[in-house]
Amino acid sequence: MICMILVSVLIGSSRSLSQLAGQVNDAFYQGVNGDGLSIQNDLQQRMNDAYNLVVVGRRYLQEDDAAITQVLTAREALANAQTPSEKYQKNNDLTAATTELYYKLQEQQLSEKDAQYNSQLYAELSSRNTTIQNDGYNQMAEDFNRTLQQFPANLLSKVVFVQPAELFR
Amino acid sequence: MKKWSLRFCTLAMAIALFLATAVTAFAVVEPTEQFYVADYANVLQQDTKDDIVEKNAVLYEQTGAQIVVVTVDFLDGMAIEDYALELFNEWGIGSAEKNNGVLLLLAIGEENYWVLQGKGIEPYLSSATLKGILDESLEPDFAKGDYDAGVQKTFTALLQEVEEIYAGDTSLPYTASRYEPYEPYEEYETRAFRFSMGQMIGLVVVLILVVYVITRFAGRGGGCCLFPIFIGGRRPRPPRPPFRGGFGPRPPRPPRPPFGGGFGGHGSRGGFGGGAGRGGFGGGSHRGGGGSSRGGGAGRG
Repeated sequence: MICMILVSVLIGSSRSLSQLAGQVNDAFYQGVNGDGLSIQNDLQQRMNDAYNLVVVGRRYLQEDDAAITQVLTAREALANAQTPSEKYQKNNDLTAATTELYYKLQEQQLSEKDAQYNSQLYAELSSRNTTIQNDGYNQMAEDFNRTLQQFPANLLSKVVFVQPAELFR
Repeated sequence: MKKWSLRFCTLAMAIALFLATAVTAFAVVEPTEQFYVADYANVLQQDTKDDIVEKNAVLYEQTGAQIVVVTVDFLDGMAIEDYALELFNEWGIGSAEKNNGVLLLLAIGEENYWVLQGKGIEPYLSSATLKGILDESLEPDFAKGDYDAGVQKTFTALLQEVEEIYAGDTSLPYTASRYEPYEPYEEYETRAFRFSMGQMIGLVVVLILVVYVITRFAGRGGGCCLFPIFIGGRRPRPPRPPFRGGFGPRPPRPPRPPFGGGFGGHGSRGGFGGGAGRGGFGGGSHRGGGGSSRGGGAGRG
């Protein structure tokens, strides 16, 4: 009977641990509160805005202009990134590329409307980066990782193959 | 004794001084009685301030949205977007339920400004739109130093945007995102896992001890037999007294105390009703609705 109690406790605890790991993972994609205000969705919006900036840029720059190709390359790299850490790096690359394109466009003789687009898209891109920085995912992941290091989670995690959460950093 | 009390007083004063400076090091300004406008830089006309308050009162009543205008001279070393975010969340601008506040912050001495929206209104009032409003309505007058004119135009433009969002549907926005609303999770709490695990282990230990004590000292022999259904098979028990069907005569029960009181009141988790939040909506003074922002927004440059 003792064995049965112990086994049931282990099973229950392992399930809880797995669920927690799932929650942390989902927080990256759906937000800490599950409301869609997530890092992943913000990154997706940044990719959209970056593309729109390229659309404006193509009216004034050559298609093979370095500023344009860098944005497209960085955007694709971010879209293909798999892990939070990788997405962080690629997002930084996208920031650098879009900033360069923004300033390059500012030097052009933009129409009034395109000047507005340039300005507003850049504002949107910057704003998204700020909300990403303020996102609670990293804190949640750090709390989870701290839990994994403590008994009995440190033993259970090995049994159920629960890995520490990767930070967006 | 005197020496020790003197040392104690000195230490207490030092701690108090430290705490005081620590608290005020990067504090944002406090909301005013009017709440909707706080002109710490003293650059706005009274008519402008009255207009902002009046229109906000109507807006808040109808939609829970608030458009707060704050002017300060300096930001005490904080980046303007950080200052705006801290102020927004401390003041609780907009409805707690809808998070539909907007903050227009002018830092006159730093020649800078920022506008920030609540997280519930983000999908409908993007930072790009805010930037457009600033470029068109605020920047020309701000650059000339005519802050009052700039604030008037910007407030009007922001008000128009917010009113358009709610045109015909004051229930918007309930979901904080334009994306598919996800099933909300229960509050995440890693400590709960740790504590429940500890409690479970403790419970197991107690169970084992109880079983041991009972089986050891209750004269029932070895093994754990509190739950014979799990073991299978039964141990012989002493014969039971002849109760068959029904119950024997029982002593009369004492009368029950009168049932009253009901359940305790339920605390409010956030705003209540159509946008009221933690403060009330009083006649002369106004308060934040408890809304919050996750940052972003748009500013100068």
